[in-house]
Amino acid sequence: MFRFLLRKLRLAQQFKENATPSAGYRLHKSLEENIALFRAELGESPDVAIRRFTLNLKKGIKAAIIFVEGLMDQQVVYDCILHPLMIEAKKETWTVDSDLLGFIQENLITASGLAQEDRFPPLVDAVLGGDTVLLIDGQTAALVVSTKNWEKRAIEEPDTEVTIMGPRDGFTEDLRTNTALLRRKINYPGLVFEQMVIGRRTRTTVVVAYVQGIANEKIVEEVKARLKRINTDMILDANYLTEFITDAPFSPFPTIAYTERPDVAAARLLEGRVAVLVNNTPTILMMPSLFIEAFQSPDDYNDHFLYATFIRWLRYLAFLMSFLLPALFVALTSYHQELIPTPLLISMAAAVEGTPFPVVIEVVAMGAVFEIIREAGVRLARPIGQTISIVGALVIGEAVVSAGLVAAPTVIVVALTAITSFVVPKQQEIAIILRLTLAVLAGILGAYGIIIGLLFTLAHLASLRSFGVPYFSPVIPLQVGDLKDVAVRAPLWAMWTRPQALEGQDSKRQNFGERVPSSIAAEEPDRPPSAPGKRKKEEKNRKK
Amino acid sequence: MSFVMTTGLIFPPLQGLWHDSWMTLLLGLAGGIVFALPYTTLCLRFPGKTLIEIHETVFGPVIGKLFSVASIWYTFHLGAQAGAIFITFLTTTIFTMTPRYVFSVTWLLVVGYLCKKGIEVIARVNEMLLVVTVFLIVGTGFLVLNIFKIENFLPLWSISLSDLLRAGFGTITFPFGQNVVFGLLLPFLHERGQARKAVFMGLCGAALFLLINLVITVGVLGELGKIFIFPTHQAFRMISIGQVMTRLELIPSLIFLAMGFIKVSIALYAASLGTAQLCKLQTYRPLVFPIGVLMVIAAHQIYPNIGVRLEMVERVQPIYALPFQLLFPLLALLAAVLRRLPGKEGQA
Amino acid sequence: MILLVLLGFALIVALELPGLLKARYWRELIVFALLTAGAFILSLLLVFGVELPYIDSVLIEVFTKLGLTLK
Repeated sequence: MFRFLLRKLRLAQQFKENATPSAGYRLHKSLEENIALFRAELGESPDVAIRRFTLNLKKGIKAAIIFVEGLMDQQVVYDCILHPLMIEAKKETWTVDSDLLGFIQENLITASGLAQEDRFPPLVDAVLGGDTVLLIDGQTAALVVSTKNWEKRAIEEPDTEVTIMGPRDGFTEDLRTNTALLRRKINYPGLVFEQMVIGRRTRTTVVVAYVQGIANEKIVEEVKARLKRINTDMILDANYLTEFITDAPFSPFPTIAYTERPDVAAARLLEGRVAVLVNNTPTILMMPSLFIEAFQSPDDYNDHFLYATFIRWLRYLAFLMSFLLPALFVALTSYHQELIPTPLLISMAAAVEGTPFPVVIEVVAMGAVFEIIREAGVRLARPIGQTISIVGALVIGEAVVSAGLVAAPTVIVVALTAITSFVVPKQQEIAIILRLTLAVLAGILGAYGIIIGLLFTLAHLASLRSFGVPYFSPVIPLQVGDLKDVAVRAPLWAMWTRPQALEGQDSKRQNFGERVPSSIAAEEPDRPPSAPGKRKKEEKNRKK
Repeated sequence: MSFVMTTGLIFPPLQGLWHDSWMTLLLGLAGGIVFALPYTTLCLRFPGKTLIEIHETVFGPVIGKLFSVASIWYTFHLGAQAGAIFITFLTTTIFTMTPRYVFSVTWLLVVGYLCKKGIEVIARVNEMLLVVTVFLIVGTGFLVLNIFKIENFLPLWSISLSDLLRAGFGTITFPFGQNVVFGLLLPFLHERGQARKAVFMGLCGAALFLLINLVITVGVLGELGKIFIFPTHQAFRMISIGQVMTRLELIPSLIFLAMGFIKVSIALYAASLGTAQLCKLQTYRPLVFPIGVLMVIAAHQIYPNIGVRLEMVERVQPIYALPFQLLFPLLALLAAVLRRLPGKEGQA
Repeated sequence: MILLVLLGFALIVALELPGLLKARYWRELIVFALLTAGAFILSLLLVFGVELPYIDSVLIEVFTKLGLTLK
């Protein structure tokens, strides 16, 4: 019975598929029939405009242009198509040979992008993509005039990745703008863009970008192959792609990085990575991505390297705190009190006295409350969001302690954790997951639970790969050369190789440690004038 | 490397010869290197083959299988032993109230996960933990300076040579000879030619850190140390710098615990892989959890109390382990030489 | 306790079996089944409180009988 139904359904589907016209069918000779074809395909949508006119070349020939309003430039359509065909054509005395379309193409239409097309489906795609299609009665081909232009957001500084110094431009939703931004950063012919269309219904344009001669070709091929294998009907955002092509779909660790900043993208491209730009999204995907990348901020490279190194270490510390602190707190207070220095232990015991719940529950509950406050604040209009955070932080935090529901140390720990988790925003989601699991584990098994959780995480991290590159490198497996941008932020002239983990080509950026020496002679000589005398003394000593 | 370290760190070698134990340690190192020789030679002779495969080529299918079963049993026993030690350690020092099976089950989960991910992941995690451990040992070395008493090492040479030799022999088999397990793993080293070097470096490094640890422990505890079952733990307990850094015993013990995980993982991995190769299976992965469960059961059933354990270590272990550590590889090597295996042609 | 043991083994089997069947690893399946069964029986015995011999005790005894111990 069931199977019968299934077969019926499948038959019906096949029938439907047969009913839709096959991919390659062509235009008719008659203009009216062609217009009817378009109407059948695009429906009576009000934004699809069909403008009929008479082509005033010798005798009047019927013609029509089809475009989607809002996706094209009215001015261009008027200047480059309608005006020449209707007005200019009348003035001149042309001698038209048999190839009417070719003639119009060469002599009349002044738009920069122009192509002939005789198959129907590409024409529909062109119209939907913002181009204008010119149909002429009696011709079995049409002209596609490039008139794409739509409302775009201006280039702004991205809100998600704010820097203090450095360039302020950010990617926008428009693919062309984004590729242009990248081109402006890397003015080198090796920067390659390869385009493909993904998503059966959204037909999203996706561009794979890499620098030829630097990127590992195997990785580039792998990225393209994975993108091609995606079979879905909608790609609305870069993350839609990520989830389809990521190496470890169940892992909470992101093995594909994202950025909204052209300078970051350009730097990554020049390290040998592949970028994927998705139309209609301001975020750009970059792969392969390493765990450590989240700790590298563009500001690191705009500041003095000593300061940048210091800040980077602070970031590591903050990240460790953001997932370890609650767990350690729970383990210390409920299992290993002996590790807490005695005076501190006494004051903590005094604070904890009278609170009804075990520390684990306090920590987990307060952590959850914090996440709720954050979530409530994030998606609201900004002024209301601020009110929420004030109510949450001050009122709840204060009241909960004075009511004796939660001990004050717990609130301190949770608040500290909350702040530290924002230091490394790109690994924030993992920090939240790890924090809660570790806190629960610590509540059950104390420090042993933490060790178990950490080992598990470490094993997972060690086994993860991003497009063949070990995710936790260069720490494990250790690649000493790559530590120059991980353990410290070496001065730029000392970062003479690209990351070895990516196994790109041409790994050398510049000669080792080659700086620009000062061409102005130093005013004071390196050697004090008394030096020769000293040397003589030394010689004397030697003789003795 | 960590394989040797972990157990040794918790159980400093040998009761009885307390302040001269550093000498036994050096002796153990020398012995360990001697013991490792036949293995590494074997592995160099049969590049890319595990002990199980070597056994089969050298002794023929039937006897080879017997040897292999014995080796697998030894690895299994080692893993169970290590597991048992750590469970005992946990239940007696830190978590006196928690039932044992809680530890063994969580233990099994993590170890099983590590093993399923393969030797590469185990090695990488190990690398990471090793660095942390080295830092911690060196760091705590500085912290105990204020309670460190050099007099605790006196008098030197207070024991007879025979006692020293006996103790050294024990050290050879107990932490240092456990490299049999590596016989199963050496073929997976990236650079095959360096197998011997890797093992030696590992042994020396381990000995160095055991030594540091031992010096710390003896220096801090002095004669007292004899009465503790886990002296290292006690030594860190004595740390007290100002009012802040007090009683840090939890931290080193947790690190050692993590290393213990690695040790058991390696043993479990070796046992599973060995079984898989013994039965000519395509993959060892499905065997990880069953063997793991068996190992946990064995760990629970290995000794009724720590006294039996100590008796085992002192009286039986050296003899029991000897065939696995020295006899088998020597025999295999001998047989290989006599039978001219592998032929020169085969090697090319 | 018995329930927990059952659950644990059910989990192991559920985790491994589909993969084994899918890949048609019959040899692996047999070894896996044997080992799992062994582990299962042993753990049941433990749960029911049957006194099993301790490995080290047995070894000590055997070696003592053989006269192969250090004093």
